[in-house]
Amino acid sequence: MSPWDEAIASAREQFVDALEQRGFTFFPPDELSGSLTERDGTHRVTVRLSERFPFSPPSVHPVAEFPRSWHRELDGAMCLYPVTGREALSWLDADAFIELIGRWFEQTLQGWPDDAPDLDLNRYFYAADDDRLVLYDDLAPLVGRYIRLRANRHTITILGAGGAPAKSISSPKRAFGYVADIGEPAVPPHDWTSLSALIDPADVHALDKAIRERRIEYVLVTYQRQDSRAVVALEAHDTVEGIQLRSLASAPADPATLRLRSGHDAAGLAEADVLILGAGSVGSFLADALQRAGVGKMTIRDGDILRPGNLVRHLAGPEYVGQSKASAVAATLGVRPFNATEISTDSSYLSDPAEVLGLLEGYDLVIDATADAAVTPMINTAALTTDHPVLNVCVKDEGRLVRVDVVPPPPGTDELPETAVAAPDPTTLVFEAGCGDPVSLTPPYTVAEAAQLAARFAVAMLLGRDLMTSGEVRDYRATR
Amino acid sequence: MAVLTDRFTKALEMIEPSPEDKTNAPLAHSDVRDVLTSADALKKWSSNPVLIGSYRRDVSIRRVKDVDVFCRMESPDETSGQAVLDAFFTVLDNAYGTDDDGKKRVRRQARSLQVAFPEYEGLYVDVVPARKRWDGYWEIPTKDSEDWQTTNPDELTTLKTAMNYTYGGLYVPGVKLLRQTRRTILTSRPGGLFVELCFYDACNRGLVSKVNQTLTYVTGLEAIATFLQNKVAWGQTLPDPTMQGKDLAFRATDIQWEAARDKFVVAAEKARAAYDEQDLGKAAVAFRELLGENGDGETVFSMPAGYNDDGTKRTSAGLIVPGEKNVPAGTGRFG
Repeated sequence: MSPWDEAIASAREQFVDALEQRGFTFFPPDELSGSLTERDGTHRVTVRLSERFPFSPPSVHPVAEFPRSWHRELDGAMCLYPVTGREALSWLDADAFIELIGRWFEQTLQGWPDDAPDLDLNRYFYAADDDRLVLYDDLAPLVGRYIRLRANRHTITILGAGGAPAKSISSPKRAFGYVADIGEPAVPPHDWTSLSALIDPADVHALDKAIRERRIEYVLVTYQRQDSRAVVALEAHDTVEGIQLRSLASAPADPATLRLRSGHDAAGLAEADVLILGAGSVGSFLADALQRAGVGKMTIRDGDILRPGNLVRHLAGPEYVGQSKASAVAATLGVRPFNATEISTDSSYLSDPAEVLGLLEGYDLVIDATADAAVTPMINTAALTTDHPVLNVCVKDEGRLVRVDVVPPPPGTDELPETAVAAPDPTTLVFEAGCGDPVSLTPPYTVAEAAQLAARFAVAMLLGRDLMTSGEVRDYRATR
Repeated sequence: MAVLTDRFTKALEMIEPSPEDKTNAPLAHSDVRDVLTSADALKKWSSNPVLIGSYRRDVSIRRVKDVDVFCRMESPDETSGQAVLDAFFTVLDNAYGTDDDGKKRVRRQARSLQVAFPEYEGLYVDVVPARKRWDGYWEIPTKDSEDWQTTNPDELTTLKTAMNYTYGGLYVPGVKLLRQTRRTILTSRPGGLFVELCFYDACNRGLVSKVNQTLTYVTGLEAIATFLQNKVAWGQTLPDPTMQGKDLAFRATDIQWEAARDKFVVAAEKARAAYDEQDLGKAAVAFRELLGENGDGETVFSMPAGYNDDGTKRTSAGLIVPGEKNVPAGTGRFG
């Protein structure tokens, strides 16, 4: 037996023995049976260890007939552990495991008061064979109405309201459905009988008929748990055993959902106005990071054009080759469905010192990602003479040095030390036709690192957070 | 407390009669049966040989060394027990003769006839002639006498089945584990039948636990040890569960009983200590010593996964452990 197999077998044996020590009976190879005594009496349970044990919790079934409730799988097993939060393998502690089972009984018999509002009604239905994702926006205006849907290759989208067709329509792209609201169900519905009992009685009969006559095949159900609302998308079929419901994967696609994962800072960044100087490799990924973070307005400035050789280390795709880098980045960001950033571009080089002060005063933050020996000193010097700090980001020594500087250093911090880089061996320089300077062989992951580091500092500066340092240097030269 | 159900389950597999045993025993029985039922000299008694003994009761352990054939004489007469034995011997001796080394295959014993089957890996068939009594019991020849003595072997099979049901299937495996332990710790009598019947008596008196197989085994050992202590001290006897009012008699000398007492007392203490042990490895070492090797020379009790033969843990035994409790009492989300 390999050490890996042995580790798993050992964990399994120790768990089984621990339960046996606590009065459970083991029925090899994978089932135990035992009793728990609660205030209301004794409850027998069976515990099964799947092949995924110990990295997946045991499956626990109450032996007696228990009323359906939340936190019960389709096969009747208790839902003891949330999907997120299993990394501690807490079930391997036999006492904690048994205690949790006891609490499940207690909660079930009390009707799950103070339950967390898990929005997982779909798990109480068997899954459909269709693995397409049903996308929906705000369904409130469509509650109680029939809807038209479009069946795409990987998604099913809602086209809008419409009456149920008069007869069954077979079309690979067109479909019809109904939107129902069931409020806050005390017990999760799991079939047509239990679901239809929660739908407006005025509509149920017609809906039932439409499904049996195969005039509609989808029912989107909105529901609520405490203050949260959710949707379960169901496929509805008429069968010899009655109307059969199967759940489909579904997801909201409204603007708020699309931006939800921008994070907690998004609200504060919505009013921010940023200028990114340089839309090269670092600048492009920096613009990407700040858009995703929720920055409200962004101007991207770069006088260079996108070449094919840039693509491996740039945000923009091949369709933008030949365009200005600033426009290429703006266009890439602008088509994203979650975009909430007002993006402007400037395809000119910054060379006139007279312009600089206006830029510093006109934006909440200017970020220099030019790595341009002419621009950077100009920006930094201007910042030192005003109350408008700037952020510099660069990559040196072909990615072995990543550096972000706040200029001037925030109060209470010191300027970061210089990081001198030796001149490269001329015999190792690589040139590309059309480019005057040697090509930097900085790896793409390094520019991404620099961009994300700069984004972190930029967000802190835009939100007015105290900075403990005037930047950060990541020097990898010692690891060469 | 170490229960180690999985290891005891595997141990039972290790002492279960082998496929060869399960093939050879019925073949040997069938062979002897054919010889006896076709013999003209025995036809007057209407011989009906049936299997009895540990193999019949499914409490044999590997390797099955002998098979007991109870040759029921449905139409007995007044022939003495020894004369019946002589007649059976003649029939069997004529049928089986000698082996390849020239040794006689049939041996006449005090109360039975032993037929050797060298072709079945040293298996023996013990043939015991029995005549029917008026009260439903049977009688077998008495040692060194022309008389017959009463017996009721079929009933033991019935009692075994009932006790196994009462004990939720733990009784028969318990017998096997205890017989294996006897084979490991004793080099002489009393034999496996004593262990089985002492255990049966203890179960009958509620001295044996039904909680799990391990505890059935441990309390069974303790009950046998207690009986042996009492037997040696003041002559306690075992009632014959197949014949009311009669006690069982076993062939063993006083010295052998004392030796058995000493060994079983130590074994019972070791088993109890193992059961109470928190460390699975240490417990397994003790159970391994008690259960020894099977008839094929293989270790009966395997160590739990992740433990060395000396009971120490390997690294793998401690690799996968629970992390911080993230569901304190009264809080924490359910799935």
